Amino acid sequence: MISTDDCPPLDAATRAALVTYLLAWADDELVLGHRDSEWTGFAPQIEEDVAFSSIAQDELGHATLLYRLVAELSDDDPDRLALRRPAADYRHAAVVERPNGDWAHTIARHYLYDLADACRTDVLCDSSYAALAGVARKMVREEHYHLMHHAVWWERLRDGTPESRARLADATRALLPPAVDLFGEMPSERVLVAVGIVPCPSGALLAEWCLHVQPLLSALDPDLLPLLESAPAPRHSRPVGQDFRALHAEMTAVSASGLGERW
Amino acid sequence: MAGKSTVPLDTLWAALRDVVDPEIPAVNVVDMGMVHRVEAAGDGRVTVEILPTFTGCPALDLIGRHVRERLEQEPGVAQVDVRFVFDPIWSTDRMTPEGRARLKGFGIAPAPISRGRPLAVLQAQPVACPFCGSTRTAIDNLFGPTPCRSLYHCLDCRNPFERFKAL
Repeated sequence: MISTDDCPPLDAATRAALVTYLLAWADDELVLGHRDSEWTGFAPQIEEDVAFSSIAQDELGHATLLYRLVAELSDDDPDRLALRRPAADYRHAAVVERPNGDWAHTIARHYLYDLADACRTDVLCDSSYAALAGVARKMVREEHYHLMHHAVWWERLRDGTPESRARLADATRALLPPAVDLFGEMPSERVLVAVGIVPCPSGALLAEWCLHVQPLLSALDPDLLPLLESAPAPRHSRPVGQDFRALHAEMTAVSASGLGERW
Repeated sequence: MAGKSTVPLDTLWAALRDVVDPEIPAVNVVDMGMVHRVEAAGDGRVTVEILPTFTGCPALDLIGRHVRERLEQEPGVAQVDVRFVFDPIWSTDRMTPEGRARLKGFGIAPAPISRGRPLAVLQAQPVACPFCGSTRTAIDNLFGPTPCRSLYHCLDCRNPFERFKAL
């Protein structure tokens, strides 16, 4: 369990808002981690097979931390939160559930996501809620390795061949609108911003993310730049699509088997 | 406050040196820098604060259980509470010199001192082969078989080897 003993008690409304916020983030990490793990045994190089398996493990590790913190705050069970909720209850952004597609799509999605995650974790390192700040500081250091990996691959694909460049541009074109939605305002986010638990609203993080993404797009295909100007859709429940229905069925299969699995 | 029946902290720290990461059995949790604080109360209750290493490490819960089970064997210990804490953050900089030496003996090159900037040191410093000591080495993969290791090979003795990632 993650200890919240040293944190001041939260009133019911703040606690509920924090649980909602953390759960959406945990779901992002869990779902993307499962997509990453789908490359195990299938990546285009043996090195990438190892890399994506390891990255998947890191993302699931981050999800575990967040589910444990949520469980502590809501007197729940982290395994239930991760693996025994109906598909309609998950709150991840749509971009992480998209099928992996080709290698360019995989790299573009992960790089855009990790840059967004870096913006989020950087500000949460200064959260007024000590347990959350600790978790964020923990993640930042591990994410350095992911960012370095994806930056190298982004450049290889961009500068490799006309085909790799075109595939990277096509993938990025498809991914930018749903990636912007990572910064959709969370329900009751304002309650958390007001007391410094979340030091910065999602809208301000979007502006920060755009500063990192703009030079990437300029060097790849400047026609992609206007896609950054779309307004993010707020994070709330949305209909469960076929892609996530299938992923949810797979990632919960062992838990649902009743064989008594443990993390 | 400590009463007469409080178990000496030295005894508890010594006992913790028997607990190892099952994937790196050469290095105990104290030399790994994972034990932040040990407290003993007069009624036999012991609290241990453990700093998790890599978040994706599946061994964490097992290590927590082994810490509890090992300390419960000490005379006078009635109950052990293992807490995972993130302040301070565990870093490879916390590994003791003895831990680093044992890691190298196990065939894993220790991480360089990172001071919170692991990638800067990764690019700046040559990596010594844990088998022959040569610094003519090349990285094959930033990622390895566990979340804590990268893959290298030595251009002189030709051995592949792993290196603990700086965190």
